[in-house]
Amino acid sequence: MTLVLEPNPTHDHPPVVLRANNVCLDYPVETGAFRRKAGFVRVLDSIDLVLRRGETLALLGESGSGKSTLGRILVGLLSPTSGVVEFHDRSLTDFGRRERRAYHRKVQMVFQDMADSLDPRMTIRDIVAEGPSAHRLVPRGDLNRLVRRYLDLVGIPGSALGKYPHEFSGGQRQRIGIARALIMQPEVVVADEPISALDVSIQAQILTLFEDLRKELNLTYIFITHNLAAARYIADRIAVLYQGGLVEVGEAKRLIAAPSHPFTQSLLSAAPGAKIRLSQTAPNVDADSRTEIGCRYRTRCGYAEAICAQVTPENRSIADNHFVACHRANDVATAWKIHQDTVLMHEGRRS
Amino acid sequence: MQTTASFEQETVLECCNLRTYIHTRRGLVRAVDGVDLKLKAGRALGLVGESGSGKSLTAFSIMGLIDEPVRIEEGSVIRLEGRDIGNLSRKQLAGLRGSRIAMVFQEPMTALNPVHTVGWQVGEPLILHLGMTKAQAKKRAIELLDLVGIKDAARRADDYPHQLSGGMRQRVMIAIALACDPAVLLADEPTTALDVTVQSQILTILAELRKRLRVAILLITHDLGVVEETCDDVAVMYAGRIVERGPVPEVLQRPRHPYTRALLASMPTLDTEATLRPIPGSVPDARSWPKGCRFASRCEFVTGRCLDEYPPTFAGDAGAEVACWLYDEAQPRSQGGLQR
Repeated sequence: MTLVLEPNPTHDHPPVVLRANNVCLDYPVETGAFRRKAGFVRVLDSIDLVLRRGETLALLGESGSGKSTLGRILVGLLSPTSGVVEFHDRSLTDFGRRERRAYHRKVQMVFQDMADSLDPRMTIRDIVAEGPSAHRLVPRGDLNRLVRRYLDLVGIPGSALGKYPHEFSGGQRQRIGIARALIMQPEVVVADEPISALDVSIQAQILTLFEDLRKELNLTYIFITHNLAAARYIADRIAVLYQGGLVEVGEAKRLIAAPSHPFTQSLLSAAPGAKIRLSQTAPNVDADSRTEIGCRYRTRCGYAEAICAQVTPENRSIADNHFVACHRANDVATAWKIHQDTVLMHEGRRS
Repeated sequence: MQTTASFEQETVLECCNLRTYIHTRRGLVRAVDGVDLKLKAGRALGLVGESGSGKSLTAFSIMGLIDEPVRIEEGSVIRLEGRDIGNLSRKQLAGLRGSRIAMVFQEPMTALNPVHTVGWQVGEPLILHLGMTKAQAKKRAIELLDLVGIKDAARRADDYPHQLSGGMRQRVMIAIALACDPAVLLADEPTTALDVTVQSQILTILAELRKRLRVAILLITHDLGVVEETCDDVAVMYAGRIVERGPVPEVLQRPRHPYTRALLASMPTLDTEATLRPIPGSVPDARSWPKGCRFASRCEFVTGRCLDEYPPTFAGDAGAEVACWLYDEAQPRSQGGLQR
């Protein structure tokens, strides 16, 4: 049985562009000099997710949670061990050569560190023109004009064409990376931590650029980040990953206002400037607690009960478009509400 | 804020007109260009700025961790516990580093030595500076690891850095830095490479240790949220100079300098609906700072005077200071100014 986490189908929603159905990914664990396979690590576990046209979905999680890996699977850079990724309701595995090519054009990726992902020996013109020229999007003679148009769109002057990546600042390189993705005229852009390597003031420039481009070009985004405030700002929906599993999916504003998984709450209360402070779980959080049965988060969880070790919690709906994988989601949500009220009360008393 | 004992207010670190220039073949880079800092015992000062603002180089200059072509210029003064350390020999400096003043770096994996156990690395300064025997150092190292919240410290002391997670490694770095009970701890973006949950644990530990050991902390960060959480005072750096300083609540809630204001307005928050207002443009080239205010080209309140003359520091109320012509009381203030 798969529970597909998608907005309530009775409403009139835009069509699904990308869908992950029960996607799992295992990495083999190799030991010894001969790389004998000693087992495997489950990097992603039963991921069900849909992406609708025009929406921005943020994938939120700690390092090692699998958020980047999931992004790579969705753009087709990695294949899942089991499960399917569908693009416009057709499984990627059914695609022929042509369709696969079209898919790779229509789903583009923007990376975190453009210093690493732009070839230092290529000029900006060649970097941005590489995709459309390989896909023969326009006649050769029109390429320069196309490149200029997209550089202009992201705010890079035309004089940059003959320059090399090292001549640009981090923010400008990120813009070039965005132009390289957008020139393919994609439907979906998967952006993997596109602002985390940038300075605060530049982060805001790039965030608003993403926002403007989405409206202008009618794009659909997957925004991979560990920054809660950025996720809340840019995303319509947020999906929270913990050690390879989805623990909470919901509308961005609601999920931040009423987090209902203990991990989401812990993330929120750890964010600098957070009003609600929960004591951060035992210092020994570093032990990997990936288990076959039971909740992955239980070793860090303040709400853990016997059942959490025995039964793996399924994602279930606690409100419209709000899904939580926690046996005690309701108690957890209530506890947060009480914290919130207490904070509000104290604030009221002070002023 | 405690004002009980008088020595708590004692200044342990002071920089006057600190200028650190980089003498490159392509010109003189005036990266740190006249920084004044005062750090009191047991207090935490946040030094905030974007990359290239000179905040890290300020810390490296204080530690004496610079080499050609980077030079501390004539006339710069760095005083540690009343003693001028700007002109000390390498040997004299080495005697102070790790004992009276210590530093924690951003990337603990590159700062730790991969071929020694963490217990050995925590014990090393104890042997070098305090003359402990190996056995004494080992014992104390385990206590220190325990102090920074490493569970089962006796066993962990025999681990190598690669066996520890990022958060654990940063704890080890803190243990090394605090081993000899220094007067000043410089922390250069200590949590930037860490996850938020781990970041909050590390910040809590720093805050606890500051109280317990009365060490003064200079926390260098680009994250105003981190400053809000951990520091008493904050200094905002832009283009090699400090543009605003004061008590944390004062500066963060009533920012005066247009740069500080813009910085706060460009950060998304968890609970407001305000749209983001990015700061237009970028930082000018450090090889040729403009004649006047260095933020002028990006400032929405810019006047002719800003372009001609670098503003002096004006004292505001509640202990805040700001280097901006808008606060020159001698001049009639233009209307439609900063009061929002």
